[in-house]
Amino acid sequence: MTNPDCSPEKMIAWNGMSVLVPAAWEVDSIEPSHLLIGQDNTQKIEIKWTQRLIKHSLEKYVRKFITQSQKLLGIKIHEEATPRHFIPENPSFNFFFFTWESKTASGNGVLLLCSHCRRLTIIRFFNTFRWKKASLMEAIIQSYTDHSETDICQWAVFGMKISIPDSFKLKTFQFKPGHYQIQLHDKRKRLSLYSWGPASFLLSSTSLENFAKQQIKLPPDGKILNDSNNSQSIQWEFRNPLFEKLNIPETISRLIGFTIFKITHTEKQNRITGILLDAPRTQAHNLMQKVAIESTSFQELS
Amino acid sequence: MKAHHSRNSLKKPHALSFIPQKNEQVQEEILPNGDIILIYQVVYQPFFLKIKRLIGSNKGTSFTKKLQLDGLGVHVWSLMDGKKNVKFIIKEFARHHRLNQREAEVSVTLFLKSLGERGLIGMKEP
Repeated sequence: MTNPDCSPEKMIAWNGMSVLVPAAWEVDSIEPSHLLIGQDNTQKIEIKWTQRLIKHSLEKYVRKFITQSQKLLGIKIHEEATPRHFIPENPSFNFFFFTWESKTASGNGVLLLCSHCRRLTIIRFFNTFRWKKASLMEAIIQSYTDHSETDICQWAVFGMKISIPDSFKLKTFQFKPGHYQIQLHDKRKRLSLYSWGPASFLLSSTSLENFAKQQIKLPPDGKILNDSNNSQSIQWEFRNPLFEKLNIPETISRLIGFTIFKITHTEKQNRITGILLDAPRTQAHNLMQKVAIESTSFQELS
Repeated sequence: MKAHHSRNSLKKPHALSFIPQKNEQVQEEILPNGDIILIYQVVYQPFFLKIKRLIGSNKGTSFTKKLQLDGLGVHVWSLMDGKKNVKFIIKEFARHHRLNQREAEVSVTLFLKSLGERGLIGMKEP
């Protein structure tokens, strides 16, 4: 049987990056380009990556990283030779292995510079170990990606699994118990993703349609897309009510913001998910087809 | 990277092993919809006691307060049997409502904290 403590099988994907970690590990702290991942409040790894593109060589950033880390964090960084057996699965990464030590802790780490997207990533482990072939640490590093190979980007945090077009950039987010929300934008297009739970509680005294209207200002009638034992979806499509009453020519109206809101209740996961898209009418339906959100909320761990 | 300071506070894994104990003086009233109202006594703050005396009201040093628990609160309340620790309650709450473990942990610990602040529960060291 696989030991969930040791086998990297859960994907954490956030704002362009993705990594595989053991199923029992969970995000402790989340920021647009920084994650702290731990288990039972014991920190396991820290990942930080740059959003803007790096112009210089890895060597130059290594020197800067060592100086800054020692000054800001009061930790000592020691360069470590690349493990002999280590063959990068992703050839676009350049690696700099290091060990770090503070007054109370020590560990290993690696700097990665992607020659494809020119992003720099630091992965810091909160324990010291010897690099071994096929070890958990190596598997985590080998699984790390900082850009999507297709025009679709995956996001996976706190039991939320999302696929969206790569062009959308993170604007704001919140993860409150029972209510997750991620807002993204791509020029004039806006995308909001929601997850509410537990659905059995939230829908105990109201319908899915009424629940949706409590969350978002929607026109009276939505279109029921599918209604099965396992899931129910309702979709609304509308233009800004200000423009609705005006007799605007078709050539102009198709450029005006058009809103699609789809809400889905998945009984099996006991979760409600929502997608709100604002985009020009000509693009909205096509974009909506590329957006997917699902819940993998509860995982039974041994 | 971020600085991580070790604090002299109670470590979370240890805190999660604590066992919540209901205050025996709290009364429960079950509503037809399954919600529970907790009825408990609150002692007046010294400042308000002085005001009470000044206006000539000497009726007791405490007053009754009520707290209504919804379905989720009732579930956590029912799990507190004096034997189960916080970690077990979180795990059971997550399993029952099919929630992400971290989401359940935040919900349950915030709920227990608010009950503790009202004096409705105490925590027993394992």
